[in-house]
Amino acid sequence: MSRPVSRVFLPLVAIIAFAAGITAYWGLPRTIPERPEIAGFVLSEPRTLPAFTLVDGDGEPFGADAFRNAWSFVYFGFTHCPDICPMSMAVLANVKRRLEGRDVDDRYYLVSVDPRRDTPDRMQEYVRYFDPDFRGLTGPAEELDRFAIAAGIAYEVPEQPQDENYLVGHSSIVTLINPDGDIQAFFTSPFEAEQIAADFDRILEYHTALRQR
Amino acid sequence: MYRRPNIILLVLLFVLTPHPAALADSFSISAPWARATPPGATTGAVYLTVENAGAADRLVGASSDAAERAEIHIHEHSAGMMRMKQVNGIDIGTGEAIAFEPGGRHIMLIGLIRPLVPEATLELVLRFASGTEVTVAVPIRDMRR
Repeated sequence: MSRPVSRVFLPLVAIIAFAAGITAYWGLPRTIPERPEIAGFVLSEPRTLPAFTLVDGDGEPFGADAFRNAWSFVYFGFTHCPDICPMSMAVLANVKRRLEGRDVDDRYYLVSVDPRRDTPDRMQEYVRYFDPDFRGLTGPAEELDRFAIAAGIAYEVPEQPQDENYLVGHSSIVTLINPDGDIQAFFTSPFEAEQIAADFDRILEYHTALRQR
Repeated sequence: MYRRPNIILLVLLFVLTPHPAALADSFSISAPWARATPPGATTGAVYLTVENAGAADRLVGASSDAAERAEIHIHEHSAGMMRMKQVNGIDIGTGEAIAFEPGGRHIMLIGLIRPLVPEATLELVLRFASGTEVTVAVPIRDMRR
């Protein structure tokens, strides 16, 4: 009696196991690209930017949509900052040189958290010292806040400064915006140009893999 | 009536009074530099290492020929923000070396009198609680590369 049962049962088990295996294989996480580990963090779900209107170095309006169709490295700081901002801008200029020759449109921005002192002209003059292609953005505090909050940037400007030489506290983060105009990653300080350039390659690969899924 | 000053007393006074110039030897300053500034900058930063071979002291102030004022600053990391903060002074014990470096402690120059151009030098005077003053020639460097 046991033989006929085995004859049917065993092949059935084999077929079920095979089917389960196939199902498990297709469902395996390895079909999802692995999120790269960087000196900062990469978002698996890029974050959409809210609408805002800042002003570029030429005094022209600049909205969230203007980030589309390029990879944008964005640093929030202020031009009266003697230490961390020039250091960060110099690192970004170095990153730009390292990425030269890649088939990507990479752009670099300084967004002022101190619009009271940072006029469009002042921004233009400041960023171009680091690289002639760098762009500066400034604008009303409410507009800046919408962008800063989405980018996870905290800053603190005295409401009634005693003189023109007040200090501003701010997060020191480089925000990476992808060609869809969404936040894709954050680089945290201390910044190293070599590390950021290498991390950017990993992010590009990850972004391409996510697209092909 | 004019009384001649007591020469011996004056000499004694001079010898016994701690003399800043004589004490300055206990401090050695290494690797001083200032970052060249972008056009229009009103602030700058100086970095250096102060080593104290003498008695414990406290750095309490600074001044420069390149700026209206110079302040001792530290970087504070709080609530996700980098914040520069002025401090009243920094203790430097015997045999201790205190480094001022980018992203950390620095001497902030406020109200630049002239732009900090590469290859030039500025003068920085460090003042200690003991009364010692140390003058440092600080080379200016372009750090963009």
